[in-house]
Amino acid sequence: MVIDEAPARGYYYTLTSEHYTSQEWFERDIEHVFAKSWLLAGYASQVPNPGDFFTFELANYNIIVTRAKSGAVVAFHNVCRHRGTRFCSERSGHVKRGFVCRFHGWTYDLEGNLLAAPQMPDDFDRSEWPAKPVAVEVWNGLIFVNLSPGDVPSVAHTLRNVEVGVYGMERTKVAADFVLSWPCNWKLVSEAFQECYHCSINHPELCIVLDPERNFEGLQETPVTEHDDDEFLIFTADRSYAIRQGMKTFSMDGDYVVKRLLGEADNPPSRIAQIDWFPTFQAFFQPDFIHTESFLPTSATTSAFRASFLVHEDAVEGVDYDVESLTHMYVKTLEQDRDLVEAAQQGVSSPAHEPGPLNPTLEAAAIDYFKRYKRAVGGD
Amino acid sequence: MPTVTYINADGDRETVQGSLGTTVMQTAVARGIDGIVAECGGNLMCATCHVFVDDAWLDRLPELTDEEDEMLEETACPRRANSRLSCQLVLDADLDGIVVALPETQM
Repeated sequence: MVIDEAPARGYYYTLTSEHYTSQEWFERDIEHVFAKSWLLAGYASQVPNPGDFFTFELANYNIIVTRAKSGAVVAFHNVCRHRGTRFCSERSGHVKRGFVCRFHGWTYDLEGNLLAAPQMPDDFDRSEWPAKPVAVEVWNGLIFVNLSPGDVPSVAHTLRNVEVGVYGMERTKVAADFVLSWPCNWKLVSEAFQECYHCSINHPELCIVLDPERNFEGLQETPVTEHDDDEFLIFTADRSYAIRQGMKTFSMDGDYVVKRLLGEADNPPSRIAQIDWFPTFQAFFQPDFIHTESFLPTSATTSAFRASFLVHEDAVEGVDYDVESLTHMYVKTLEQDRDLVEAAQQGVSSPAHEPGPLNPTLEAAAIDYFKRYKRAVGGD
Repeated sequence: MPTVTYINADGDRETVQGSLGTTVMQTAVARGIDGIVAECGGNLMCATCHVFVDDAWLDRLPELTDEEDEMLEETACPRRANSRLSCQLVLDADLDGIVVALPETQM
């Protein structure tokens, strides 16, 4: 295994091919990056009532996220403590009291406690065999999970300086939520998403709204994390410096695509904000909708890219918005990115590939991102 | 061999043979009777094996436990006085010939 050398000749370099192609690096990234980070699993509005659930997948992990009777959102591994069977086979749904493993009837309640283990001896202590819990935290209606074995800073603590109250996220609903399968290593997505160097050539619709050269310019004038947080987190409260005049939101023509704006009716948001958080979470806050992007490795050479669109919970589909107009600009942009990362994966897979120099200004965020990545996996 | 008669929501009757020690639910599933789902396999977790027991058989049934009582609140079709979860009705000599009506839906 090769850990990158320190940059030579004044430039920061991309990673060697095996980082993007090898099973070894896939497993290492899962273990050291994804299984130790807060990951977006879904939305509180998707599990409104006790017994509602969905499952979250990361490599071979499968996690149930459910609303317990107490009203809390709970998460636990979808692995029966008996013989290890994956006991919930649905991607989402509703259970009345708990989850039954159909193999032998072992049953877990909504907190993951072992409720029943039929015909086990009288002295069998069910309390010793719950479904293994997973740390879960709801932040402004977004459900994050963390597979770290030890204590980690909470989402609330890490995002403590992220001010998005005006967007009223607790009063949003999911208008669209889909996962795309992208034919590339996840780090190629990160590289692309941490720069807008490629935007003017490839994203004509995006560039109607956004001035790509100014996109990363005004970022983080006020850092949102302290130096020893060791975090890659960029929060931009107001992107107006990068938005072209007259453009109000990220849509095809820059006009609002949802009639009911976010937040309070008498004080709606007036700015566009953005969160960019390691490893793979970005959220774009427009006055009329919120768009989140997150992605996960599914193999060394493929990624699952999730795009969601949140609107005010009172916005009526077909009246205040339609999904096609709401998502069109971002979907077109994502399609363009997909083609780019596919070509990137093809190229870095060639034995002829070797690391190349990053643009020190236009790819500065990507450089910071990869320094953070290397701290996670070892090496500088 | 005990028999069970199922009357579906349209009024059609079907009588099948079960066996001692199996439940009214298991008999339905084994004999392909539509109208009993039994999602949880008989573990009192889903309330999708709901039946209305013919009045003549009501006092011969096994006792209603608190757990079954709780789950009977969760049936898709509203609970009636003669509602039971068929996964709890074990066929014995007493229940030979039992008649149950099926709700319109279990889901």
